[in-house]
Amino acid sequence: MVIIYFNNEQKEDLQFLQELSFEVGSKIVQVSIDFFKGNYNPKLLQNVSTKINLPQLKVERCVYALSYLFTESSKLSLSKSDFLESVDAISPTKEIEECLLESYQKNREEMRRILSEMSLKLPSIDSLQWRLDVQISSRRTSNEAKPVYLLKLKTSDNRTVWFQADYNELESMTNQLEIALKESKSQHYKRIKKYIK
Amino acid sequence: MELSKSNLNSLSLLKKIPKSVHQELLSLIFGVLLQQADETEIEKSQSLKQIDSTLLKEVFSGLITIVIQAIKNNLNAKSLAQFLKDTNAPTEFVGLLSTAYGKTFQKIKEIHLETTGFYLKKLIDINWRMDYIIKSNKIEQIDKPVYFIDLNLQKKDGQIEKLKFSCDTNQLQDLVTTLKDAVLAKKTLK
Repeated sequence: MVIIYFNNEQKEDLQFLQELSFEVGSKIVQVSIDFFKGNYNPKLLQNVSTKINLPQLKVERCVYALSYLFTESSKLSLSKSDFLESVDAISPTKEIEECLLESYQKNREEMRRILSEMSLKLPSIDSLQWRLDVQISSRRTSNEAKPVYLLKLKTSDNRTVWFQADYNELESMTNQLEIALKESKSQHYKRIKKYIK
Repeated sequence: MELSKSNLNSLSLLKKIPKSVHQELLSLIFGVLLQQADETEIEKSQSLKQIDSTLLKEVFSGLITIVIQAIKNNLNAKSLAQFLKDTNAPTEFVGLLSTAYGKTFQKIKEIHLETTGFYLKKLIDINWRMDYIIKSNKIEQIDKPVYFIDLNLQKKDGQIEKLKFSCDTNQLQDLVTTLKDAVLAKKTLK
């Protein structure tokens, strides 16, 4: 059972949620979700703060604290009960609590996707294109017929690499990668997967 | 095979070089082509030193060009001899040259011509590694396998560049399918 803990500052920031109407509360929750996704809407925030007659800064800090809640719960993939228990610490109204839970469940997958994009990773492969040519002659040699593969590899960091390979190398590369692929179906891998879970 | 006028001229210039030096001249030329000797050999040889340097230069460069052109055009020793007979080269020299050529042209071809052609980086080796991702500081419970692939590419001057990238199981599957198609294409060619 994993629960998220708010520090005292955050608890203070989220204090006024207890007194909010559902309408206003849900708007704040929505702003927090959008903030996490990178769509910060200051105008909406301004409207809300004037409506409930509180300084904008206070509402902003509430949004940050709620974002923290969503970030951590998505990161840990919190179950419904764990999420509700964490939210309990700031004791919001029943309606707001439900609103939070619903937003969390609805957006969890997308938030996890965004988090994994932000994670440490090597550039991944975008595409590999190939072309088979026969090298006939060049400035220094003529009268040959050597098959040669031209390859273009694109990676996710927008790098494009051109290279050539002869048939033997390409075949050995293919064999090696096939072996690599088989590993994901091997007993050893299945055992480790089971053990880690 | 086409040769420029000045190259052909160098053959007739051979007459000005004493016959006794011909063999040494040939050893020098083939030594340079096989990368076993360089022009400093001229200083070491008493007989070569005595030849007028302009003359020597012209003959030397002419002969080297002839040999390289012959290799480029895939001539064997016989065809080279035939070609040279049609020019005004001294007969004995032609014999010596074709013999030396016959013995060494494969090696010279390997050393010079197949490695200085224009080409892109060449794939020489591949390494791979499979990991299982558990968690990161941004997200936990990832539980997915990932592959790291490392290609070794060799440039024209022999330098090796490493190309690294990662992929998940689906991307690797696509990659393997693409490569299999490529390999199959060659099989249907021959």
